[in-house]
Amino acid sequence: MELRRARQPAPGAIPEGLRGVAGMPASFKLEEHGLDRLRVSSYRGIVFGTFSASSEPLEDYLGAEMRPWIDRLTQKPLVYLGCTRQFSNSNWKLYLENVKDPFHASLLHLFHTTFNIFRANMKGRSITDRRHGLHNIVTATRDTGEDADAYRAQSIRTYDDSVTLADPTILDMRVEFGEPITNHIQAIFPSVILQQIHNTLAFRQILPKGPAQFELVFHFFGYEDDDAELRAMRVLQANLVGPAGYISMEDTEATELVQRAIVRDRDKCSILEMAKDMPEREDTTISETMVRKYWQGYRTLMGY
Amino acid sequence: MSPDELLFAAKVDELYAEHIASIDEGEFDRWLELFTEDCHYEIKPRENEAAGLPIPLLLCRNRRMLVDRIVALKRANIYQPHVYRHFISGRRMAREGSGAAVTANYLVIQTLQDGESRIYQAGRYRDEIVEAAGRLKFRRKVAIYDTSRVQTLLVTPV
Repeated sequence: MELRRARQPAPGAIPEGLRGVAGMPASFKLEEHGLDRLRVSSYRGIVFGTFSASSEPLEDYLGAEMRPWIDRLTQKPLVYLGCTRQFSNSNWKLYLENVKDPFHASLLHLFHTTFNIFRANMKGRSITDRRHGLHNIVTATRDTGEDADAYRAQSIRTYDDSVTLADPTILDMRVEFGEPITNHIQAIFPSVILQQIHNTLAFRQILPKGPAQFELVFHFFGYEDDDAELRAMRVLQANLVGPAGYISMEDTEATELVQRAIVRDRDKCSILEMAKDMPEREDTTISETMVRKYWQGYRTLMGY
Repeated sequence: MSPDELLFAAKVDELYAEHIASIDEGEFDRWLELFTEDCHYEIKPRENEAAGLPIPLLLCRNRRMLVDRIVALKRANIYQPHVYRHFISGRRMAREGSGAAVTANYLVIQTLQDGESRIYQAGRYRDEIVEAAGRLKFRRKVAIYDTSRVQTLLVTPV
């Protein structure tokens, strides 16, 4: 986007007789009154901007723990596929907290349990930036064969009282980068979450709109070398995330519930003790370690 | 318009009336009956459509996927109780064989438990209808919405 401003005559262009009579005084220096400059840097095609003149270089800001995981999703030229926007009446930090709490998925997003999409033997990671705890990555890796075909063949594992997907095509997954990671959810504080769920890829951008409102923009992408089938999978799997996503639509509902409770019950607190006795463990997603490190890091950052 | 065209137009109006009545009254099994087995149902932001970008808000490539959405709405997804009220205007159509290509504006007013009614979505349908076993059905229904900021979530179809 290009910013334009209304044309203003340079001081030298004002006729001699008019100087000091009308308009800017002779002491006015245009170069001292420009727009705030946004410092812009990019990392592997992702453009970041800051109004801070003193923040560290982008690569250092992203940090040694996070960069390899960004590299994982940006190792080929990207193609933009479009966006969806979700608006929430809650504070933007609650959304970051949501993605740092992998355990909530099985409690809030009942898509998996309702349709018997079993996640037995999933291996997980939960890695936090070691300097400040504000960035983090969560991954889940399946055993091979856990896709739509496995789903179709698993009728013996179905609970009596639950239902099955009439068309499980949405669960298909083509392994793209070696390890069969089904979920890669990576929060880069304060504004972006990188996401790979099966073959759907997105940068989730957080746009705060006030203390109790934020907009969440899902910017979907693919790769230039996608074949037609893979591209169609990415488009179909957009059903999994975004404002109507099978496994994400409830997130903003949940942050709104939390927002209302926080505003109402200021003197109360919540308990975050899961995996508290093993804060260095990074091979599990059954943990609230990332949430604790996030709020500790936020407190330090803000000087609270 | 010829008597045949008038009769067809009345049937099309009835299909749209049934579409909005079944959703607005929460009778989703009735709503599913309005689609062919090979139907395409999609809700897509206008900004993507205008830019030639493929990402939908919601996409069902056949009726089975539509059934899955309704089962999820009833049994899996978590959301505030709400009511839709649809308003359709400016319906136009072009006959194609025994069916037609239809466009129409739509407006969805959503009322939550707080009792306030808000504009939830404004957009345009771009549909294809066919005659099957003596009644009209949607073979394709694409809702292109202007209200790009979806408030909280979308679980109920438009």
